[in-house]
Amino acid sequence: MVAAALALVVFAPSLAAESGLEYRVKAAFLFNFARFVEWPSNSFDNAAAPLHLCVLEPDPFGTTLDQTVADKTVDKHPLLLRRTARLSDTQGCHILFVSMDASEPLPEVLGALENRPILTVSEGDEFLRAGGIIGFVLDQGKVRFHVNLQAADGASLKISSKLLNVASRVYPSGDR
Amino acid sequence: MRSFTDLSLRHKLTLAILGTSAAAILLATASFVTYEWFTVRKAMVNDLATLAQIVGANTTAAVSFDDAVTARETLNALRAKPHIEVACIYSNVYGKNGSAFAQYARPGVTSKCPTQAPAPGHGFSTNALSLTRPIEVAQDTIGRIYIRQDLQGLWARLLLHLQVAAAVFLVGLLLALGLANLFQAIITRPLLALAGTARRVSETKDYSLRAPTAGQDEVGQLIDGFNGMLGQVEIRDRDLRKIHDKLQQQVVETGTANNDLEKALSRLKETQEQLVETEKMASLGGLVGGVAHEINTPVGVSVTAASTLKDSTTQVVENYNAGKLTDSGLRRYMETATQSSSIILNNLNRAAELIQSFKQVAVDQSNAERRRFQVDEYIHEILLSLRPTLKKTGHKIEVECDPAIAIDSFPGAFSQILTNLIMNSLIHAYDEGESGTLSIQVEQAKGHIQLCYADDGKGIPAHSHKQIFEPFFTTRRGAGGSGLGLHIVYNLTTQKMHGTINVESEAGAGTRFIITLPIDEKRHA
Repeated sequence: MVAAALALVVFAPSLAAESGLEYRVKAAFLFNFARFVEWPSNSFDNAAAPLHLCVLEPDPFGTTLDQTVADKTVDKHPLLLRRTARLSDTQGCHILFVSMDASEPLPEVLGALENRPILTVSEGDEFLRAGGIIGFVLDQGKVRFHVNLQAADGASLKISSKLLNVASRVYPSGDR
Repeated sequence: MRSFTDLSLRHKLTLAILGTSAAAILLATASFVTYEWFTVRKAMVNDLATLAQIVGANTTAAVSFDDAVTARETLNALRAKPHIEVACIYSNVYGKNGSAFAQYARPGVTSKCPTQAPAPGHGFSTNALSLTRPIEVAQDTIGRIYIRQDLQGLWARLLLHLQVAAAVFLVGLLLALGLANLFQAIITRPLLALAGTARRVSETKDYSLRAPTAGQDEVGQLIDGFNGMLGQVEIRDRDLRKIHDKLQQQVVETGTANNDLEKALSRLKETQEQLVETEKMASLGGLVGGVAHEINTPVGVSVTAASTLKDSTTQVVENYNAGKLTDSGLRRYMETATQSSSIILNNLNRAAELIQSFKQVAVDQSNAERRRFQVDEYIHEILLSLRPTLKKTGHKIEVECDPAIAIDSFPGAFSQILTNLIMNSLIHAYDEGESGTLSIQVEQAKGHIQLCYADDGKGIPAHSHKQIFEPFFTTRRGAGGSGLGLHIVYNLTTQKMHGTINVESEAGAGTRFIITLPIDEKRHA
């Protein structure tokens, strides 16, 4: 089903020059992150509680993300897409995509989210240095990502070694 | 090449045991190898499936994030498994509809992965085991993993198993051969002894021999049975010999008895011949008597006439000397002389005629010469010789025969046959003082004549028809019957004249003899 859904995305991601395709791949990555990340058990009300995927506007995906997430579940948690412009509305989010063009400055955003079990995702290494967890990069026209393990630890998120294997770069955790 | 049937029992047993053992060992090792083969294959499939599962699970992230490099690195870990030839990851996501995403090939392997993902499952080819599994994340299938493994390990194991099986087979056969030699000796020794005894018995015919006994198994029972049989044969042989001896003695005794019997028989035949001769002489005597009687009359008349002539002549001579011869006296004398000499001449002629006839019959009767004779004339001559006998009885005799009929045969035998038949009728057919009619009919046919002799007397009862021609058969013994008359008729008809004789008669209806004689006896001799 997912395969079929992703198949709709079509075309090689290497053709990232086409912005629409790039964001279709990123949307799929966002969904896939959910599969390789473990949230603390108290972040869900119950085993079937929804997993909230939030986008801090402005949304660069258009309708792509809606299509990707539609009717999907991760470990019985149905995926729910939520768009918000205000940082205060990020309560209950499990994944938060921070748009590069967000009105709030990055340090503020990340400072507000610190120590909360939210997988923060944005674009570029800059984001990780500021305390974000996953940042998309373009490597030879292909969408790849970097991971900041220290930030993940701070957010009490366990990131699967498989995901780390796939990451182009991993910033190690400080105390481990 | 000798067939199995002709092999010695020893070899048969050895072959049977070896064959059975070989079959059993072959079956056992074959099942062992087959079982191992399938077990090993199944284990290989399971192992490969587990490996595919592990490798597949390790590539889920790489597939999910479209990272072929990481996927390839993961696959490269398979270097540690030298039997893996190739391994491939096929992706279903990011627009790759089951096309090859990452692949690994053992150095030196040229055949690569299929370009499109095969269906999940596994398959053996001659040299390889291929296996395809889905790659799943949560419940979603995002790709497939294909692994191919060479079968060197399988073949090596099979080879090892076959070697072990061959070794087991050889050792088993050797063991079976040893045991077979041991067992066959136990079984064949008494059998060979039995066969030897049987051969000696048939060679020497010595039924007192016995085979050595051996145990109570089937062979032992066979030997006991054989010995029992020998015992019975021995007893029977002894009995047979006794019976044989007795029989030989009986044969000797029978031979002696036979000799005695033959002697008695030849004496009997001599006696019979003597009797026949006597009978012939008697009939000749009768003939002579008949002749004497027949001639008596004319000679007696001649004597009377002669003495009358002599008396008349004496009277005439005395009268002449006394001168008293008268003219009338002379005339009377001349009448008497003429009459007397006429009577004498007639009667002597008659006597001469008779003698001539008798002479012929008598010569024929005592002679065995063959000549040609007129049947009718000869019958009359025979009847003439019988006239004195017949005259006393008053029987009438009718002869019916063409005077031209003549045969070339033995007239003596012919006259004796007719005489005996007539005498037989005279003696047997009529009571004292009774007179009947005897008839003789002769007819000529082609090459033979048929003579029917019949009387109208008492006849012969049917039960006696077969016996009348046998010697010494008579109903009138002690009353003149010798029992040889018809026997002589039969012998002369059939043996001397080469004819046939049959009798037709019924009690009270007369008797009829039908005699057939060849016209020319020589042709039938």
